[in-house]
Amino acid sequence: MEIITIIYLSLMFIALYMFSFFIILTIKNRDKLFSSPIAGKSYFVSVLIPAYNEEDSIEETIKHVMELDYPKNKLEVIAINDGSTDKTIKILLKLKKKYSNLNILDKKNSGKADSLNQGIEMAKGELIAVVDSDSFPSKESLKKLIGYFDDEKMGAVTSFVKVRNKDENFFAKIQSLEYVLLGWSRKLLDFVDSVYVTNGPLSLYRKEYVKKVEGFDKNTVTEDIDITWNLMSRDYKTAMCLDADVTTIVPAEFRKWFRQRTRWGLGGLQAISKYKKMFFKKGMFGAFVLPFVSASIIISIIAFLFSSYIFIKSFFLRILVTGYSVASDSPIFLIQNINLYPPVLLFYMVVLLSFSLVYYNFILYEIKYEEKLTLKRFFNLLFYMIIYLMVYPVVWFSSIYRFVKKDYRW
Amino acid sequence: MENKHVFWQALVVAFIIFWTGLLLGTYFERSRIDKIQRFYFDSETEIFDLNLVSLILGGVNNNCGLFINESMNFADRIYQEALKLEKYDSSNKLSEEAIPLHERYDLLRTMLWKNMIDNKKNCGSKINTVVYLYDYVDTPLNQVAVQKTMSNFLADLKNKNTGKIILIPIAVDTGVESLDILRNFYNLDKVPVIFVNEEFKVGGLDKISDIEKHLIS
Repeated sequence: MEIITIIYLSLMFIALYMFSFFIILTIKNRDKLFSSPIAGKSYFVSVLIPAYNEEDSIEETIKHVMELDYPKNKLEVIAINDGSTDKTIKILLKLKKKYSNLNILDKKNSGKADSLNQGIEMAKGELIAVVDSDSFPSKESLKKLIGYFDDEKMGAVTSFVKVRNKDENFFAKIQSLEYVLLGWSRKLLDFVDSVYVTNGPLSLYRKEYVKKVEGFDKNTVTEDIDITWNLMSRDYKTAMCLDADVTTIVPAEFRKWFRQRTRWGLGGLQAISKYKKMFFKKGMFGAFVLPFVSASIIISIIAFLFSSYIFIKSFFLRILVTGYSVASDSPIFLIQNINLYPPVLLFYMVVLLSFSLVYYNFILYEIKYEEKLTLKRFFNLLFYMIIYLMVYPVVWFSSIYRFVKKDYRW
Repeated sequence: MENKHVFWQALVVAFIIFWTGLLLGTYFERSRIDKIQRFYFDSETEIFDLNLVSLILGGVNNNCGLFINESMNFADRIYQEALKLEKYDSSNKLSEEAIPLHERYDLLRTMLWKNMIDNKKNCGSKINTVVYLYDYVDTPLNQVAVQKTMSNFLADLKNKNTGKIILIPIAVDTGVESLDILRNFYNLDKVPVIFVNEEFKVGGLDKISDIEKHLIS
């Protein structure tokens, strides 16, 4: 058997394993996917909203936070102006007059992690909710996240992020599909205690534990991954609530998207490097999360290189044959060259692709992403699976390059 | 943890699907090769028959037409069968059974070439033999491109000159010793090469269009 075939079969087996893993989790936990525990006691919550040059969205974000269905005497909101150079602070001061429980922390620019740490120092709440300044939590979201903290070991709970600007263009639409599928898979990982990111748009933390792990790390470019891993590495639990949703804005331009994803990738690499000593140690973090995240990166890069090799090789062959044929006055193509006998190995690809399409449509149906299954949505899903996911590992090369160069700029 | 069994359960499911795929794949690949093997069996019988015809007729010139006709049909058939075999082989990834079968086809074609050499001596040059020698196993990309171009050129040439050409493509790297002897005899050490009527040799694409000039009309 050729080495190429062995690589292909190995990748297919891993893909089949992961697919089976998620399918079994879905079947086993179908009734619990959208449920959230009801809180047995009341918690005082401090909502932290770090903002840097967010004049376009900060007012709306604060409005949504203020409208959260949560007892007002148990809720304080701290907007942190991280040295904005636009009108963010002016808007905040205006809003302060309108909302009595809004507190403002105006500070010099020092980054999101430091802003959050300063906010935590100011916060009175037992629980800390972090809301990105361009994200709008739904009315019920906070209430649905609270109940998880009845579990003494619970350190952080995250929400389900939806894309608000999905109709802006095709690229935003594809990302909205990605967010739905990521949210779903994150929920499934919750059933094996492996929620490894508590996202920026809306996550809730137990202040005591965050303080125990010395708050958000200022030296990482993705403080949300780091805090989650920090909590998990100390045996605190993390969870995800699919029923608590928050909307956010995604970059609709390729350049901005690439920069954002490179930063996420870089943050992931920083986290792997920081917690590498935990590999295969006791608990889900060392035994599953760390190997799972690391293997995902490696496998996606191998799959990208593998498919690129196949594609480039056949492309160059085609170019060479065309060139030689033109030069030697030979036919470029003959009917007898058509191979109507596809490789049997395509079986795996067809099984995976068709099952994934069915499964993804099932997810979109369950999430109530869009009312009907249209041809357009089918095409979008296909594009996401075949083009977007195949090309995505390019981001990893940029992240790895920045990681090696120690370029940790935001 | 409630769902701890999912890790091994997924492994079992993945194994079942994976092995089902492997078994089905191997079965399909085998059935394709079996089909060619049945063709090969018929072709083998035919070449022995053809050999015998050649021995019986010896130098009897008035039976040359019959022999040439038989050879032409036989060459066409094994050309089509081998073409199919190569297509199967490029799709077959699990088994390597196509290579030994290819070797046997190469042997058949070498026998055909030798028969043609002998009988052309007896019957005079009434038919063109175009022998195309190429590499089949582990061929570099550039050579694959050259070979594809040559093979397209020859297929086109054959179509344009129906009934005038016996095209005999033979892979040189499948281990046919008799072919190596013939190659040594005609100094055909480099491949790919096109050898027309045991006289004119084309080793590259630059002179490929000259082949037509060397065909007996």
